[in-house]
Amino acid sequence: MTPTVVPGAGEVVSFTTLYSPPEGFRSPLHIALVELEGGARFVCHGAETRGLKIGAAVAVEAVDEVYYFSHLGALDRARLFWRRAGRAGDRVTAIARSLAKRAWKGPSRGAS
Amino acid sequence: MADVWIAGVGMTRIGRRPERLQDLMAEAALGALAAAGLERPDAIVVATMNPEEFVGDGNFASNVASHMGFAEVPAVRVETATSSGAAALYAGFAEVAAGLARTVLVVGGERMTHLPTPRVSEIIGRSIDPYERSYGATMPALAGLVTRALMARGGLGAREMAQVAVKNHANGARNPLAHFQQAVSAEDVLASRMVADPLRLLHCCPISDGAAAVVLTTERARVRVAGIGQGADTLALRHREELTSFRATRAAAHAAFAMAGFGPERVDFAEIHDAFAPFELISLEDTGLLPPGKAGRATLDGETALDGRLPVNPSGGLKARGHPLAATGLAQIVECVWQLTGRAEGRQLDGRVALTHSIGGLATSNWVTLLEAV
Repeated sequence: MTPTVVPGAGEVVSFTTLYSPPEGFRSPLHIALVELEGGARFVCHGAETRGLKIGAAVAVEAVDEVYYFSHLGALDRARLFWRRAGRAGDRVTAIARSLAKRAWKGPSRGAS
Repeated sequence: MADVWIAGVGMTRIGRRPERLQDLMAEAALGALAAAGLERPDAIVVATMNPEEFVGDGNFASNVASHMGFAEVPAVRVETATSSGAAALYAGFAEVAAGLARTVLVVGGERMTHLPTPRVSEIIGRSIDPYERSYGATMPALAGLVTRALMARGGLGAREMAQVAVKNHANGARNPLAHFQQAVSAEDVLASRMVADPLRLLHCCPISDGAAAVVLTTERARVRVAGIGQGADTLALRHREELTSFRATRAAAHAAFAMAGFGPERVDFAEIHDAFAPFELISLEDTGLLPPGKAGRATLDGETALDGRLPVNPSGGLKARGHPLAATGLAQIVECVWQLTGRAEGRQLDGRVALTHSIGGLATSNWVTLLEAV
């Protein structure tokens, strides 16, 4: 297996909330399909999907090899993100750099 | 390649059935053989998606053959997840077309209602990519992702999706073999509980027991298999470039129409795999029966209703007839043969060419079959 470095931000391709998840998952279960810069797509878990839109930029991070997305727009979600990201020291810098770059360049697509 | 004809069809009532799977399949098979006037087929093709887990039996081709008193008739089992019935029809078609057998009995069935719903979901969910499954993705979850993307594309809203369920329940109310034989309103659909946002309970097909069977033959009969094709796609949803159209359906339709030598404009009515209501809309466009982006409008306008220009799912579809997995692809054929031969009392259509469409897994192995009455 080749290790993959995951950039810290991606774009929501689609998302759903599952109200009868399989055993071992909490309900409701928020799932998003997120496309990272470069085109790779990941299935991610999230804390919620309220206010989320297809095409929105989200932060993506791995905790114990499980990928999570979180909304970039809201402060609390950002805090959650930082708290989780704090566990992987090196990655924080990479993610911060990536986000800063993204914010500087603006969204890659026109608002829709 | 020799012409392949349908000599007879049969199916059980779909729903909650106390009988064993073997008994359900025998009931459907013996019905089809009786309709064909055939005592014993040259070969048998059996479709069940997962009898090992659902009912605890394996080696199911021999099991069913023996159970029907055909222990000495060569039998194979075919499986492509939820489209196994259609795949079995293809295998039987190939045997007859290649001259390997003069008559083939194709029988498919599933028994699931005796298990709790989470267990059934888990067993069906094993047809999903293991990585996506590890995130809790089930069939409704992936269908929810597809539906959300479809709605974001525009031109398709809650009303269009609800209307698919309303129409198919109205059709099921006219089918004495359907799992659900009562109508639902758009309000009922929109008020039903959320399953995988934006999919609600009444957008989803039920868990059902049942079986269906078809006898194929080289002998000229009233209905011919004019074309049949399979299409395939990646196991993982995340590896696909588009979510809102299924390549597997487009490829299957292309192959089936190429074999038939005619196009979608010749199709008079269709049985479409509406495991989730929006899949009917996607599939009507993927098969070429309706132009891209038009299925929602056509459904609201009644074009796909029983009295419309292109009736879709006269049986009630997976939504109302029910979805006993491996029976479904064959139950679609049964409905079309009954329609084409004037045996669909209470919902009889006037048509000569029918299309059936079956989805395996999350559209990894799809089938399109064209039937023509002569």
